[in-house]
Amino acid sequence: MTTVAQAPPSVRAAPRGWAPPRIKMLDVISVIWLVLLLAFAVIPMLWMLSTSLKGQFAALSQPPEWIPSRPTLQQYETLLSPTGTVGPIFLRYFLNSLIVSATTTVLGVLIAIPAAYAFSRFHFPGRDVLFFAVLVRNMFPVVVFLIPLFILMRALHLVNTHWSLILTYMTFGLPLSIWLLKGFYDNIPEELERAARIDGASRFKAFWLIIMPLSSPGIIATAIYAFIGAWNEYVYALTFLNSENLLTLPVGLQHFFTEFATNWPGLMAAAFIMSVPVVVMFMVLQKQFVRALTEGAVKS
Amino acid sequence: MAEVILDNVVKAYGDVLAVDHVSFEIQDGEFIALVGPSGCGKTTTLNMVAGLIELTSGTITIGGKVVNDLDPKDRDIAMVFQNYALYPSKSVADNLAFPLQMRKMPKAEIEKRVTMAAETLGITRLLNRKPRQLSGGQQQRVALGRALVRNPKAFLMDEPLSNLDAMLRVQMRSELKRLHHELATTVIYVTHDQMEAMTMADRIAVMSNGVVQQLGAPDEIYDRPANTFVAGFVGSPAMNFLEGQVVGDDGRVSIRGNGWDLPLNPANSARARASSDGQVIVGARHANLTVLPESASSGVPARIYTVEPTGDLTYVHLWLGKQLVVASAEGRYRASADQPVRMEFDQDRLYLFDAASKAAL
Repeated sequence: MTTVAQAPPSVRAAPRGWAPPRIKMLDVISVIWLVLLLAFAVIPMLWMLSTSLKGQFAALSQPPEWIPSRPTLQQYETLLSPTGTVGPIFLRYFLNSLIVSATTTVLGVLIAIPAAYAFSRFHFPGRDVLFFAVLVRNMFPVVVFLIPLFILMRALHLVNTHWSLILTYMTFGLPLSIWLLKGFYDNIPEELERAARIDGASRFKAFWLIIMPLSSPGIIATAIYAFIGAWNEYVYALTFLNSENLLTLPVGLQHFFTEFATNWPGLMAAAFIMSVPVVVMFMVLQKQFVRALTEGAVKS
Repeated sequence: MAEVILDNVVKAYGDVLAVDHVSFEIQDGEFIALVGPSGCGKTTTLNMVAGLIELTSGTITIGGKVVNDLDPKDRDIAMVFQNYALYPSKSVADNLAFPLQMRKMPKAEIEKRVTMAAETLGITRLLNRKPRQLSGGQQQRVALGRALVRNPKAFLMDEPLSNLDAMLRVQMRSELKRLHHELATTVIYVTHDQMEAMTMADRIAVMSNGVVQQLGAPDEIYDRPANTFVAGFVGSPAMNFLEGQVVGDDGRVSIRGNGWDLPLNPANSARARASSDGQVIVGARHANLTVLPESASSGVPARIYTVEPTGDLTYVHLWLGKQLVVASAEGRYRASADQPVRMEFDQDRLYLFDAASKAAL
């Protein structure tokens, strides 16, 4: 017979320390705040989508139709058909935006990677001053540089070319790109490169084979940031470009619809199409983007 | 396999000499330990041999070839780092294969060598894992494996055991020594742990302030330290140092310190008289001090400070005049605090140093 003491069943049945779940005031406030923020961000998008699917008259009806009663893809067809009057122009703008943004991104990343690596790894005279100088650009609103840069571009005979925009966007995007990537390289132990160099790699190969794969999340984040900045920019594109066939989407759209009277569903469809590349990029690369922002910021 | 020669190697950072005219020759297949406190220049010296840091002046020769201006990759050496520096995005197998791939070795040969290295180190079942899935000891083995896959001219090891826990460190110590015995490759091993240096190395270079204080076999370093720094650094607990004045006529010299008086035998008397200004430092290891009862006829009067039993040995801390010294007694020795005793110095194993120059007499 065992004589091990056992707790009476009544005591064991009641889970120890059970209490009704306490709802904390702070949690409630947080949730309400988050819902409000979400609504603030999402409702305009949904409204845009909804309007883009309406007919011209339905778009203006009072009270507004929240959900289109007879949805139509007509606006999208018009915008995306390579024949017709509107389609070719819209697609031209889209292509221009793509050329400018992609070039900005690729060149920006190609410059930011070695710059950030050098700031992180090499000790050279004036390094700290130079790094600070790179960041100083971010302290001024971009509009401040509009006139000086315009004069500069005119002197370089670059006004009314895509290069004027690419150079400008790179100037604006690089400081954060370099800063972000430097944080990444700082967190990669130098011994890895040293080991690789002893194992038979040249300095460049050690960087390429060992350090690059480790910093790819940072590079992706940098690329997204540069791309979005270039893709959405309006003021410089408006100032530097005159020729209709060079315009990028943000400026193009505006011209487009003041000329063809105000076609709200068309404008919304165009805006929606414009947001697609950025949204898709974010959805695909979201994880890397978040990892890059947090890893660059927190020292291990 | 090759000999490594350092000739008047200097590394200066501004006005500071991190490595100050270091010269020594490492024989082919020899295991040499660079040991010293942090900041003594031992790691800087190793990094110069590796080619990771440029020399300010001097020459380094590996296998008969001056390597001063050679890239690390062209020196044919392998290095193990304190934090292992395994490539995080590569599997264990790929980590081991990397140095061979860099040398464009045929695939079949790479596979053969990786398998062999993994078997030698007992990490075969880990080959498909990523470094972050390994324990510290396993990472250590992979780091070693990456060094020994390609038969380099020399292994450079920078505190390879420092990140391991105490038990594993002792185990890896003997494994490393055995491995060196089997491979017979030249090893330069940097450590701050004199125990590692003593147990593993064929010869030890004790460094301080960028200077090699003494280079010699472990026994030589232990028995005949060149100066008080080497004497104090090697051995645990550290050697006792007692400063005193040489007194007495030619025949019977004794040393008088603060509250104690030590008569010397004739041999030691001669050594003591060689001091520059009559001030000497007496060095005695715990094992060469014997604690005697107060009633004993020989020895110097002393008083118990505290007693530390460790099982096989008991450390006895004593007041000798106004200074504390450590002696050891057999494991069951006990005494109470402040108990008066006598302490005998083993005159055959007494170290004497010049108080001014700190050099051995």
